[in-house]
Amino acid sequence: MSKATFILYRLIGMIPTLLGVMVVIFFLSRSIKGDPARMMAGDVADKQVLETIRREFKLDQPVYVQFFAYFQNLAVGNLGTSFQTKRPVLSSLLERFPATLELTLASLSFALLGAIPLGVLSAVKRNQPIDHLVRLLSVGGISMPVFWSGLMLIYLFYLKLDWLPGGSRLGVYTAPPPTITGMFTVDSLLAGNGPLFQESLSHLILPAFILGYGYMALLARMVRSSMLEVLTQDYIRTARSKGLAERAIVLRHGLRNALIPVTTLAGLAFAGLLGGAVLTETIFSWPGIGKFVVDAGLFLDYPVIMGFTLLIAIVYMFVNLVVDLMYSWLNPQIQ
Amino acid sequence: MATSSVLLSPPFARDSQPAWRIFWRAARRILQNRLTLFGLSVMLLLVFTAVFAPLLMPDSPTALRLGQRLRPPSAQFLLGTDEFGRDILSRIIGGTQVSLQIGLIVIGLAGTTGYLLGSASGYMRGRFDGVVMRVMDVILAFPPLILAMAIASFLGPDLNNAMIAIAVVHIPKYTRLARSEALALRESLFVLAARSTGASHWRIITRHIMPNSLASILVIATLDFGLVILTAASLGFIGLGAQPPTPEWGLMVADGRKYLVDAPWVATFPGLTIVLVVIAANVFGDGLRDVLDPRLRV
Repeated sequence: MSKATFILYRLIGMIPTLLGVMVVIFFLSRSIKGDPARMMAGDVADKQVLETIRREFKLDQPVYVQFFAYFQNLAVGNLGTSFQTKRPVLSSLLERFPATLELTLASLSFALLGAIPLGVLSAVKRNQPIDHLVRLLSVGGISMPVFWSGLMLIYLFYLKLDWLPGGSRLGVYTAPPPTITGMFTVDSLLAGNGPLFQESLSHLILPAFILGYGYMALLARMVRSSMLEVLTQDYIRTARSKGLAERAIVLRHGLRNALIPVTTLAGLAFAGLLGGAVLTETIFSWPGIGKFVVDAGLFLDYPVIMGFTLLIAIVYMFVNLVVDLMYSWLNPQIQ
Repeated sequence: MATSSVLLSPPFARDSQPAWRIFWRAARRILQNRLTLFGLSVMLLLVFTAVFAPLLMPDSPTALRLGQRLRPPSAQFLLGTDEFGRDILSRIIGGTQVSLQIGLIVIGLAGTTGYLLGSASGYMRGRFDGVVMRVMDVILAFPPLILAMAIASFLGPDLNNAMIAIAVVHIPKYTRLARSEALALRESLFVLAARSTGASHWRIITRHIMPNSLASILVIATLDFGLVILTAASLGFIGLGAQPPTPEWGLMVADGRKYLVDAPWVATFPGLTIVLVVIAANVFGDGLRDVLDPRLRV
């Protein structure tokens, strides 16, 4: 099977799951307690206003009519209107998405850059103090609630030491860079604005660190166990008997092969990062889609929750597809 | 023939030793590992504290004392008081009941559902299997925490709804594991023997398939405990889990967030408790897996 047919096959295979996702989101939103019309209109609205809203949002129609209306709207990219902001959900989400993407990508790169050296070190120096330390750090990282460790970092680095800002993407009086990607660190670099880059980076460090730390821990553990397994293989012994330098053996023969199973976990980590981003954004007042949906949740703004969940599910499905493709590219034995 | 002996006997009765000896050997290996022992001790302490919470609490976890707001840790209030003058130590002790209950109910719900569905699915194959696995694919199409949040917010902010939400998210893990075990077990001779005596499908699934995959399921359940507590605390933190004045740890951290400047202890201690319990659960789960079912090593 050629690569293109494989991708096409996988994309077609995603359709039933995507339909299932939409059905689940629709019926979840209908399980909501209380009257959506009442929520939109407020407590003091009279009967006539409620009727108008019901008609406008097809709430007076049977469920199956609403169901098809929902699909019709999705087909033209209409995710509904937020109760709170009275604006289309899709454009609100797209506006905030770059902030979340910047945070997620920064923490993913931090996690990978930290996990690979730590995991390799830990495997090579197995059962030595450095190995115990790395394992301790990773158990701690997996077990730490992001929402708590984030607060502790804000307390230490912002409130006590005042080394780093304690939230949001830029200072209150700073104008954001001209929008190109929507990611402030990238945009300020593209605009050639050094001080602005520094400011946006200093705002990014704490949230990206705390969000990435848990996954760095998880990935380091994976790299360690994968390295340990690879290092016992015959081809490593061959490399050693050829008299190759230990460094070359570990990095070129060992690590390259050890990283293959790690790629699958990187996809999983991305899912966790998207979930964790919701908590991190809340703590650091980071104006991404995660904070947006938490605020919406408190006001029972269900079009926003529906749109957000659907968007994230789609992103996640594509990430999984990319991970699978990478996996088969790295390991041609797997089809 | 080597293959037939594998087919004949279920995986955990391979050596014909009495069950108590296998259990004893597993227990000894668990106790020998210091890290696993630490995990076990903390878990036992958690259960002990939850059972005897009313006797252990120095104060009521919900009594308001507005004259004693945000007091720092002292001899009277070992871990300080929160915004309503409630004793934080008592609330953490009360929280053990909430967390233990969440862990047991969620894992019980998700584990039983997934275990049954997966075993039936792997044994029956065919259309039933197809439908079940499609449903699991849909659940797995969402990042876990996001789906739990969505379900919890649509069902309404409440601890019971949060538990249902977290359980739903965890079902696929058990279903997939039980299914893969059942797929292997259904080909074994003892299942064929049972079928030839006219045993019903239900009987074969519950009496012959399920007992033989129980060990793996229990290991996964133990490993899940920490994750479930963490997820429940996260939902509590963003207001979708336990509601005030329940002494739930995630909720307590959220309460402390507003007073981080003047009273950092309000957020610090409940968070530390979460870390301790989750580390213990993870370490104990790892140890148990190594002893009971090393194949499951991730």
